[in-house]
Amino acid sequence: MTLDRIRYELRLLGKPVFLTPVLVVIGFALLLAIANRNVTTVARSMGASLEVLLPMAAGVVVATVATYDRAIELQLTMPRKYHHTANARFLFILLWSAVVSLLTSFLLYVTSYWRLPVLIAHWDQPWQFLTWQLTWLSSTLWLVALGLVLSLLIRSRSASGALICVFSVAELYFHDVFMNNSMLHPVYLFPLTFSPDASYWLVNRIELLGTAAVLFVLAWFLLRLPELLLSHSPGEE
Amino acid sequence: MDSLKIMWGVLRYEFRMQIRRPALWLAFLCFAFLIVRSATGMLDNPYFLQAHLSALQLAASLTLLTNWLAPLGVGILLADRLSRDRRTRVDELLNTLPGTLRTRLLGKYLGTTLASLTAALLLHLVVMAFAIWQTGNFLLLPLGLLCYGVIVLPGMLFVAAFSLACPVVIWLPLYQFLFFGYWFWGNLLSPHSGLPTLNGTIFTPIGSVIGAGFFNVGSRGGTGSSSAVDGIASLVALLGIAILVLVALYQFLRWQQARQ
Amino acid sequence: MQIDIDHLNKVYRGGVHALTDIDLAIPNGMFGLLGPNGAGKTTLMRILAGILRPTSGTIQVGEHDGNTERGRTAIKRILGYLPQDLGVYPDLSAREFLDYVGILKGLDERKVRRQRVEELLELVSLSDVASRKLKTFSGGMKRRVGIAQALLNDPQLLIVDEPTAGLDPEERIRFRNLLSDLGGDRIVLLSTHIVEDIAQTCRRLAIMNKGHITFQGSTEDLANEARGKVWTITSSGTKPAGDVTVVSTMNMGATVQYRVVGELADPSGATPTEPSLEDSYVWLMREKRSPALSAAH
Repeated sequence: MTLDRIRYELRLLGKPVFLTPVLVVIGFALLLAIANRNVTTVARSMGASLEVLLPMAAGVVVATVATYDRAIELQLTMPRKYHHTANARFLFILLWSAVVSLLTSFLLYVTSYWRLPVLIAHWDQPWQFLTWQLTWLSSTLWLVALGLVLSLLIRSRSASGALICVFSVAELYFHDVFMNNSMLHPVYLFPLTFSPDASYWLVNRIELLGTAAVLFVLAWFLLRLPELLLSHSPGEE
Repeated sequence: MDSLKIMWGVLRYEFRMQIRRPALWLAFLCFAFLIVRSATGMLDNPYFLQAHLSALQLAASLTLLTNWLAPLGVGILLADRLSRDRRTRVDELLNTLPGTLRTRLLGKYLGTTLASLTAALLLHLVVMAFAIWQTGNFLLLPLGLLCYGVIVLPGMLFVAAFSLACPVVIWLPLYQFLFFGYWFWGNLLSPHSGLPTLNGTIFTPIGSVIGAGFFNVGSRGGTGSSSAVDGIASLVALLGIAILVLVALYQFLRWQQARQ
Repeated sequence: MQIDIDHLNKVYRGGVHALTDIDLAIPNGMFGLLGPNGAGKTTLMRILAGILRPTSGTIQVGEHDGNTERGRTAIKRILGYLPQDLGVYPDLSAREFLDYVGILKGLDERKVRRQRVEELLELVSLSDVASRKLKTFSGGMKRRVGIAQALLNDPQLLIVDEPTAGLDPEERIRFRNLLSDLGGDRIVLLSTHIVEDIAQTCRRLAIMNKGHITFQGSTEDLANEARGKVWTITSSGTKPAGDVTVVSTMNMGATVQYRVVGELADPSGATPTEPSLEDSYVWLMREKRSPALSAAH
């Protein structure tokens, strides 16, 4: 992909896509700064922002933006395949979310507002820092993959964004169900927030990557169906 | 009389368009699985059984349980209804029709909200039916409907007003995300968590203050007790703010039209 | 180059037969595709453009097999496509939009691509407004951007779907002239339900109705189909009796002049009229005649 093309694709994504994760982190940090100076609470909350809020934001943005194209019919007639274009777009969103998450986690690390899973608490650096990034990476990839699949299946931007929010709320509110049922661990998104001392933390993070990969494969197939891409769900124009 | 007829026509069609959305039913189907599962847990909970709740209190508790997710679905799925007119370029045509903006806005608000509430009410009835099956008490049905009207409706109207208005000025996905954040922070986060929250105040649309005030039952967020006066204050506050938001929306849209 | 379509069928989900047993040969030059709304023209265009896959049948575009993925990609390299509903990116300027589409078409050399963009902006008379955002463009200006993007890769196959819909008469004439100029050494497939556009630009055409080809041939042949079936009648206001379709009504004050196509109950008092392409189209579209004509062709 040439630089010119990258420039255009970023422009077409628009500023809101790039501002959203930044605003989420800054807004949340400000709220905490005003409300609570307790280190443990702030560490827990900022950890939650990286594990819950940023991945959710990425998922909602991908669900809304990645497969909605005003010139879709034209795009489908191009020799450059549309699924490459779509992949590039959500890759940009993912990369940006990753940059914001990485920077935030680094800041948390240097300012000691750092909540570690017990499993890696005694690991050496840089392995501890690098492994910790799975906190946001696994959840982000999973919710982005879900957002993509929902967007392609339902063909509704607002509905797919809504379902990402619904799913996340369900995970938050029923975290005890996910926690206590090992069958649900491969889709348990937020263990650091609720069960940082879980012995299965690392396995959970890797399992999430695996289930995310399954969703990405499904999305890969769906992106190759032009009739699906041209369609809308009734009432979802 | 013409305005009423126009409003009724708008309401009917907005209702039809919203009720036909597969996404609405898909969301509430997901809710149904989660809430029925939660209701099972609640009804089997020994602490709950020992509390010896009356039928009315049981109906109110189940209503609160249903209501921690339903307004989320209503709010998020209603958020694109006004911007949709602009996206489909129907607004240009609608602005040339004799019905006033106020009439159409009210019709849209009521129609889309009622359609979303229909799905929410069905969910509520499913939960009540489940509770009747578990307890054998058929009174739960009429009492459940009463609780729905008192606990659920004010919050739903509050949420619907904001969901119709805010996406006019905020990018839709950002609003959905912020609404999710608000719902969790302002309704489900316990006041004892260490973070300030609107949960437990009269501005809580989940209905916990109304439930505690009128029926002496708490919600899962653990907001503590409230008096009947608090309950009335919450009802009035939620409905009043909904009206204010709609008025503000109307004024904003008028200003926008005049600018064009 | 020629396009050969054999026994093409397209059935959408839900059992909707959009195209039924289409056989079509499209030679070099301007070729018109005429038909009412819902005839299947857009579906056929989309299949030729590689957007949709046919349910059955074969498509050959020159040496490229439109039934294979490789063939479709090869066709897209020589294709220029102007869809019926042209979606554009409102925040890009015309120049930027064309530049972006040029990149998607594989014009990677920046200097060459930008030069081509400027040439096309000049061709469609949008050079003066090229830096303006597309959201400020009128419908006609957007259509011109649309034709410009279709020409970026100097296509051998140009498909334009309803290009003059919504344009004012001047812009429509300009478009037609532009398309005619382009039709020299490539295939230009013009799909429209405006008969006049085809009458002014195409020598050969096909008519579609309900997913079938009901006519295929030259415009002269089509015009002759309604010979002896077109009449002009002046009356006090009473509509002409008989199995006719009124194609125009002109109120002259005391009398009304009708132009009709069909079989008059009483031809005396009616003036036989030289059929236009539109008259022949109307004649063909009358369902009673279509099966017999299909058999004849």
